Amino acid sequence: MQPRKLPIDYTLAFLVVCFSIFSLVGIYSGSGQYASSNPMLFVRRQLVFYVIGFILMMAVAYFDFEVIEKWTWFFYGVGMVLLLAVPLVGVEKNGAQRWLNLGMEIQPSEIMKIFLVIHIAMLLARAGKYRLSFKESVIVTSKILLYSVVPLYLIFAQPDLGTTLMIVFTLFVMMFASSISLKVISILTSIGLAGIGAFAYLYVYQLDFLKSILPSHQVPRILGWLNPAEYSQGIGYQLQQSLLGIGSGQLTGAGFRNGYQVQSGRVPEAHTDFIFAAIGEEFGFIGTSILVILFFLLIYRIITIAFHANSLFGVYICIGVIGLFTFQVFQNIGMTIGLMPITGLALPFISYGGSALLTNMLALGLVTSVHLRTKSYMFGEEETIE
Amino acid sequence: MAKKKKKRAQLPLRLNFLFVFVFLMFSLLILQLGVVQILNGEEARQRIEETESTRSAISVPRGLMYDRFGNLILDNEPERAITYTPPKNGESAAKRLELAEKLAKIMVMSDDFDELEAMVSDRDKKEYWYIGKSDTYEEEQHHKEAESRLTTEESELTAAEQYRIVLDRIEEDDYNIYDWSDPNLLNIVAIKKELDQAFGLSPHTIKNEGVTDEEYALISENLSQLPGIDATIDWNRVRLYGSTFASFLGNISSSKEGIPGDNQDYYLTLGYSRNDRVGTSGLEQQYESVLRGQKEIIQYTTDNDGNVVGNETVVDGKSGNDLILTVDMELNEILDEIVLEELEAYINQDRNQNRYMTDALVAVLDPKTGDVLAMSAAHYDQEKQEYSDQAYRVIYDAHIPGSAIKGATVLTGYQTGVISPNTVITDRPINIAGTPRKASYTTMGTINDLDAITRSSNVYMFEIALRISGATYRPNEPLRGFNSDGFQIMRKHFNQFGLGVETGIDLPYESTGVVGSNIRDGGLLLDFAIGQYDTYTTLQLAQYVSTIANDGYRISPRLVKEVRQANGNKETLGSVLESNSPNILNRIDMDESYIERVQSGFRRVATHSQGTGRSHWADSPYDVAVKTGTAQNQFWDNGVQRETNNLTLVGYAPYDEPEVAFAIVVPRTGVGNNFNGIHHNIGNRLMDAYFDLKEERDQAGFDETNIDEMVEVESE
Repeated sequence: MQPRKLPIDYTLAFLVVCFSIFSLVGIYSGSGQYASSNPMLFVRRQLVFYVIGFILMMAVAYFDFEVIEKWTWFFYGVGMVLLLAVPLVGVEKNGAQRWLNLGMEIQPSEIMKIFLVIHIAMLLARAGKYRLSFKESVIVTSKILLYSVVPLYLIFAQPDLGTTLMIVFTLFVMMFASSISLKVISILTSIGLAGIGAFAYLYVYQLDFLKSILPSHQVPRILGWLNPAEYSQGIGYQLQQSLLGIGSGQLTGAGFRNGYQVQSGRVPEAHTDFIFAAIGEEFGFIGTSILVILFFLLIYRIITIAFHANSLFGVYICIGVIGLFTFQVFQNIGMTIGLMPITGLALPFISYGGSALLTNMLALGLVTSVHLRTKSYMFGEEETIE
Repeated sequence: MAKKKKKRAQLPLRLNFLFVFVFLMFSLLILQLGVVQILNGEEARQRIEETESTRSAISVPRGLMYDRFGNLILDNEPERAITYTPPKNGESAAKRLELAEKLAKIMVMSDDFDELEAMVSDRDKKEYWYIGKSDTYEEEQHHKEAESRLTTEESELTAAEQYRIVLDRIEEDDYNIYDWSDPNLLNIVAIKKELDQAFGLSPHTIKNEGVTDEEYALISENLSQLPGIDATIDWNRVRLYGSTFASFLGNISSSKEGIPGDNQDYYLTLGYSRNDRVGTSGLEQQYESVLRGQKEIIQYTTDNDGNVVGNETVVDGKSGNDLILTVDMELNEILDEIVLEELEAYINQDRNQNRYMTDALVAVLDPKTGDVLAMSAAHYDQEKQEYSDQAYRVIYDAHIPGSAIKGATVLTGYQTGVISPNTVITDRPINIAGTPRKASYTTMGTINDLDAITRSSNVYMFEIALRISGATYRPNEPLRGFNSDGFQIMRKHFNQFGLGVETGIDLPYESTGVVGSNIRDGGLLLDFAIGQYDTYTTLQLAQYVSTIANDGYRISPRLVKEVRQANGNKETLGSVLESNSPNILNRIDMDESYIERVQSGFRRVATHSQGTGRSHWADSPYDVAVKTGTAQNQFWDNGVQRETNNLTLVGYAPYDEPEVAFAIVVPRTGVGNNFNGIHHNIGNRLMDAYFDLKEERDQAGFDETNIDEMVEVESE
């Protein structure tokens, strides 16, 4: 293991560069309503984050990820400490307490999701690559639940439903891909489906009861998503305006800085959570589908890396990263076009925001590391996964 | 390791699953994007472009006014108007000029050249030159030339500042390249000037006076070529009884005047536009909120360029509500005639003696309800030698009333306990050191309160005033122990009759008279007691006598009886929305026998052998109760003191069941003995007119309590 070249996977790096172009263009267009005196303000900052992120990605890729396997406990512990600190000394914004001020503001849930993925990847890797019996599966599953339930609760209570669901989805995807028996997977799937079914039942027949058990800020979001016309003044308004904006982009879009909805400030948070609306309105279906395809290529590349990886731990890291990215992309784009309810999840690599971008670059660094280590053992047939 | 190999590796299979799953999810995203952007994109684009909306209000006809018998007094007359409604963000000056040129071919602002010339100012000419003719190169040339006159410093100013300076620098020689004696050119510029004044999406009247049939028809036909121009109907107020009662009906502003400038914010917050017509005086002002109605509000949907792409009526327009007044217009018309005739005849009797005489004022009320039945005042302009109807003086002008108010003095005496019914006093001249001799017109000897009213004793009133003020009178000595509280006490009691305070009539303004400021001089209190100090309006006097007629209940005079819904039909009345019941201001707090005592005193003025009104009223068949007054009204004319008399008469009829009360004031009549009958003449003729009309109506089966039926009968 002596990398002669830069610690980079050129496919991933190319995709990141593409994303950065989309991101900077989208932020410039979408932030106009907030920083009219200095339209480059957010663009410059994002560019700096990209540069730092790129270096971080290479730095992480340079190190052997397998060393981390022994340290997952440590990372898990650090993540927990940060998460526990949030309710005590966290900074509150927009009614949610998610941030810690350590010189710069960081979002512990962003960091914890990666550390948790690494830790669970370690647990699953230890379970081996062959199908486990039901009993063994239950034990592994129990361990996973044991480690994830506390951080999940802490994140949920911030409140941050989006991140909670993202982690739940990611863990499920990792367990699905692991050697855990199908029975256990089926049971977990059934529980998930039952939960969704119960929610649907309550929504249709027991709306008032549902409203009373949901956190108060989630009520209009969920109800506004399910019925935008009726909530068109509040959260439904954002959705309505974003839908109109993206729709009006049609095939080719209104052109850079020409989107009426975005430029007139009707679409809120057009440089962060709703950046996809800015891209959709100004670059049309061509722009949006190119972006979605880029994301797909990203996932595809990571899956390819996972296929060839010869370390189980590395494979699970890749799957965890796929879970995180897939959920975020689908949730964020989905909410702007009415497929999903509105949550505060940003579009990875595209939305403005340092914490999220650095976390995502860190994740890509891990994936790159897995890929680079795989190459070193190119001819070690025994070690590859069939 | 070997043992484990027997088991199946799960990863590749499940990774494939995962891959398919991700692929499906991303496909779903692209599919939905296709639906949103390709399938529904066009609709979304249109909806965004239509999201801007602006509201515009369209005027509705103002409420009408009827008299108490349902006769239409104030009508609306439709008047054709040409209006201009510019697009939301205005129109360029060149476009407006183009429009003005088109309009000028089919309408003229005035047929009269001088009028037309007056409409166009130098500034308008400068602007015309600056815009230039678009079909030549003038436009560019003139702009360049004008802007070349700006210094470099000035060209950094705001566009509006620059424009102002540019206009300043345009010389007469510049714009005189056009022929300003050409009426067509003046017409174009005059029309453009009106177009300039319009605000976005708000109709502005370009011309509403003298729009000819031809102009109206031509513009209506060519609306499609005249963007923003409309041929509409505006409303004009028409008084069907001419000047009769006109000063109380009041005026409304023209659409050019708009809402009053000094009260702009008030009207704007009520939803008025700047060019709305509002009541500026009289009932038009007082009942503005009732008469104005609800403007029709249209919401225009515009695209991003300000083009109107749709409209929707948000609020349906509703005509203003109608007012049913308390006035009897037929009676008022006759009264106007009587007052004018009597004033004219009286002045002509002796033009020299009566050279200061200018007015005769009358107010007629229903004492039980406060309904104003008629108000009339004729005015003579001594310099121009012209008579005119100036009925507003009934509530604006205050005069010294003289003895007419003695009823109030006597009642104040009863109420303060300084006299009681039948108290006897010796009427003899009073000489207070330092003040002129005070006496009744004749020395009456011992008289009681009833005699005092009947014969109008001044000394009896002096005695009341002296007792109230606690002063002791000894002939030829100053008053001792005079307490200036006497003024306060007496005025407080007079106020209960409406003397010296607002009557509460439903008009925006009424005078309350002049309250004498000197309260140290006891002699003045004696003057006050006989109506020779404070001044009162004719309406105040009418309220005073009504209060006595109405057994001490003071009711505010009212002009509006009912508010009725407009039904778009002048023959029948709409349903009643609001009915004003009599507003009792106060009840004079005293034994009813006291008021009856004064009532019988008033009756005796008309009937008793010694009554001051006997010669004019003894034969009256209407059981009238009256009180006369002759106030000495001295004033200075070019340094010479002139003596005139204010003749006053208050009264009511019939004595037992009063239904009509009146006050008549004729100020500054000549002092010669021949000149003391005008107030009685007016009073006699008023009573005749009132009861004649009543009989006529009784015979015709009129019943004012049911004017709905009555009006229908009339319309058949």
